[in-house]
Amino acid sequence: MPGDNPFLDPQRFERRIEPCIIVIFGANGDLTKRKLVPALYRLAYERRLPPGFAIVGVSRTKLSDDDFRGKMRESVQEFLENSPFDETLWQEFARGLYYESGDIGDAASFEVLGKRLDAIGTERGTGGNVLFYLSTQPSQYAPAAAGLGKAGLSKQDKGWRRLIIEKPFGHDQQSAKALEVALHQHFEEQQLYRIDHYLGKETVQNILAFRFGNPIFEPLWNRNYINHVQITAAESIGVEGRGAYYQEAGALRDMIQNHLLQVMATVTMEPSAVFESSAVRDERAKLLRSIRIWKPEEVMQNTVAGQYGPASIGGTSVPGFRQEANVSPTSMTDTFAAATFFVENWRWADVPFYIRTGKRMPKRVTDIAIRFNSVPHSLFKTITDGEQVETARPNVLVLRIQPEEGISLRFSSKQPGAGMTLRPVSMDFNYGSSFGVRTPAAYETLLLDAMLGDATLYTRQDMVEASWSVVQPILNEWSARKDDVFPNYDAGTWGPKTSDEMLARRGHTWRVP
Amino acid sequence: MPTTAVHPEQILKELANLWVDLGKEDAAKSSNGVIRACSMTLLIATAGDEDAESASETAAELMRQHPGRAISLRFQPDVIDVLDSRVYARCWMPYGQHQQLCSEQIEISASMDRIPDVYSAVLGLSVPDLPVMLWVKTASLLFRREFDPLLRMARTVIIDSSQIAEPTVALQRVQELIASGWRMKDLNWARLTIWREAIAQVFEQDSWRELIPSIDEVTLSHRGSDIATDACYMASWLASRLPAAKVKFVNAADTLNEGLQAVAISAGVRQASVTATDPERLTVEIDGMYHQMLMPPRTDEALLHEELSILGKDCSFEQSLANALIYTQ
Repeated sequence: MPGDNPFLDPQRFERRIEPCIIVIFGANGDLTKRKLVPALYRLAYERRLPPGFAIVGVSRTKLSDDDFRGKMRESVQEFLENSPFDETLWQEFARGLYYESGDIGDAASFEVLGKRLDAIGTERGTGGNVLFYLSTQPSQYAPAAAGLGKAGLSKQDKGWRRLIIEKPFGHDQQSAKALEVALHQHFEEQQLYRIDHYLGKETVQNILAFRFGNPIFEPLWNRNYINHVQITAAESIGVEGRGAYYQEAGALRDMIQNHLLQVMATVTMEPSAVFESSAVRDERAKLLRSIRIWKPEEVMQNTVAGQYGPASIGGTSVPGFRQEANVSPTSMTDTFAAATFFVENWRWADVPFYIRTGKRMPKRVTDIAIRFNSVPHSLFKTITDGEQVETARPNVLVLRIQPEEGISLRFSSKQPGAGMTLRPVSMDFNYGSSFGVRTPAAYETLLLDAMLGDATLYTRQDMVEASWSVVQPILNEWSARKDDVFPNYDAGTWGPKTSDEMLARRGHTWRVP
Repeated sequence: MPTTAVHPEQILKELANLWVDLGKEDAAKSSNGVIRACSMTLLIATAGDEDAESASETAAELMRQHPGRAISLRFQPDVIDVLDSRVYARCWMPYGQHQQLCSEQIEISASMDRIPDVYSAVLGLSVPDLPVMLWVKTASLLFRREFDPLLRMARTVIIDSSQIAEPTVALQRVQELIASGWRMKDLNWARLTIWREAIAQVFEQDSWRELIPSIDEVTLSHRGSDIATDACYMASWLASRLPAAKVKFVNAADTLNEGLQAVAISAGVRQASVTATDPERLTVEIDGMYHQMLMPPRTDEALLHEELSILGKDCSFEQSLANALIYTQ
């Protein structure tokens, strides 16, 4: 094998991808149109794709290559963000677009696909490298993997073969295990790339840079200085036409089981010895395995499920979840979920991690607030209504994921004037302002990494299992709820009152993001 | 006795007042306030009004990506005893944000005989604890002895060697400064990045990496009859990686843009080339297969952004510079 490419200059331009083909199953779906193909076009615009790169769309609908090119052109023009559309570049990109109609349940379709991949590979010099992307219903993952495996398309004898799947990785612990068995019958774990697009966000990656690139914070990053941590992922919108899907999923499965536990692991994991895929993922997995699993009798004290009811927001009436299209009027799905977690290790013992997520909340925001301990001895007090009140407030470090990505530190400062009254002030770092350049979309980062064979930002099977171990006991208890408990919060609010009570039991309150 | 003077403390006070005014102005319009962003002090040295105006515009654009305190040093070679200053801020609303982002600019105009006074004033104006960069926009200043004290202000000096007519002179001066301990950056080297990236792409293929020891010829087509510094850099960079290759220069008949026009690499019957097929596009040909790469226009701002994004030593550049001189003859 020849050695490394001596012409690379990592200070100026990044590692190139080997020529390859991406096969997208579900090529007529929304994800392909809105995210995948625009992200790949953007990578071409950034000169990140190799010569000969090709995309093969697979779906049941009969389409010619040219029909597919026409549809993808419309999608790129509509959904390309912060980038111009370049006609000449598109013409070249489109020459690498192909389409193959086929049914995932039909073995013959995979034989045909295999022959097409051979022909395209020869024509475009891709050397047998193929990345399969399952942008399909989760129920199709196992049949698709089986179809690929039986047709010999998962074998890596001529080039690499990788498979990307989207969450959810199972509907519960049992189905996650069944999916794993089905996938591993045809693909090695190293060939599997489980996308959690939250991990592809620049600001989530920046958490690692912040923690492990700045030695002043790490000594404080433990139970001795941190009082508790709050992770909020709020959406102001409702289910927006995804009622049928969401009714089956719910907030706990849709957000906490994957995205937010991964974010929590990123905030709390130990530093790895090297910044390499297996080392970073080992640390993340170790942390997930350290989360305390609630016993059935502890679940209700430490978790809260909610569902929004109808309300008027700013003069506009919005429906409750049960009034949304394709949602049952007696649905018991959680549109809000909050949970208290503890990490059972020396660094984090007894530090509560409060996580909440919900739909139809007052605004769209995702952030992590690290609340430090109060001063050990109070110096600065004022007399209010005859009582002495401490005016120094605890420091809070907020890592903002979206929108307006950045980091803020709240600290106390003397209020100008006579006396010694302290007032909280905020020191802000704004990611967008400090780096005026465009940040890549999560799918650009993740697709590029998969083509490079870098799985650092992808979820591994042991991480999936560890997350389900944490979430499954909660789901079990929640499934026994009576249907008169919902709705329990008005659209446009920060969730049910019981969520506030959950924190109040430990003397804490939710901050307002 | 000089009749004019600039006072760093006065300038800093004016800056402080400027920020207070900006805050009040913005508060009157919205409650969001302005953000002051600073990551460096950028000194920009120019001689002549034309360079000064374009450099000022470039600095303003650059501040979006590298916010900092820009100090424009506008030298006026043909006058004597002039020294004056003014301060202002450049603000913009980043896309999708609610707060204005502002960077401060100081402009000092001076005759060449007042350089020592400029130096002493600037010493008090650089932002503490942050790097000081010097962009010598008017390259001829680098060859004036009276300019030397200003070089001492910065660890990193940025020039554009394409402005210097004689490549030997340009490369020798850059080498001298590196030998004296400065970290040098040349915008003319940054112009080659996309070319180098395209060439690197050829060698991403295993079969081309296997050919490296047997590549016997590299041909560089360039504009004009003289071999410019960019062609020298490219020749040196390629030669250091292709031990058996003989580098040939040819004068391109039809040229689309400045500088380099094409690079052709051959190893027996195997051929690869990178060619400027229009002013904003490169075509990469590898064994008969074509691929296009966008080559957006490289403004000074884009080139400076690239150079300022590299922190620390740029080994590739320094290595290529070291042997570039042999190609000027």
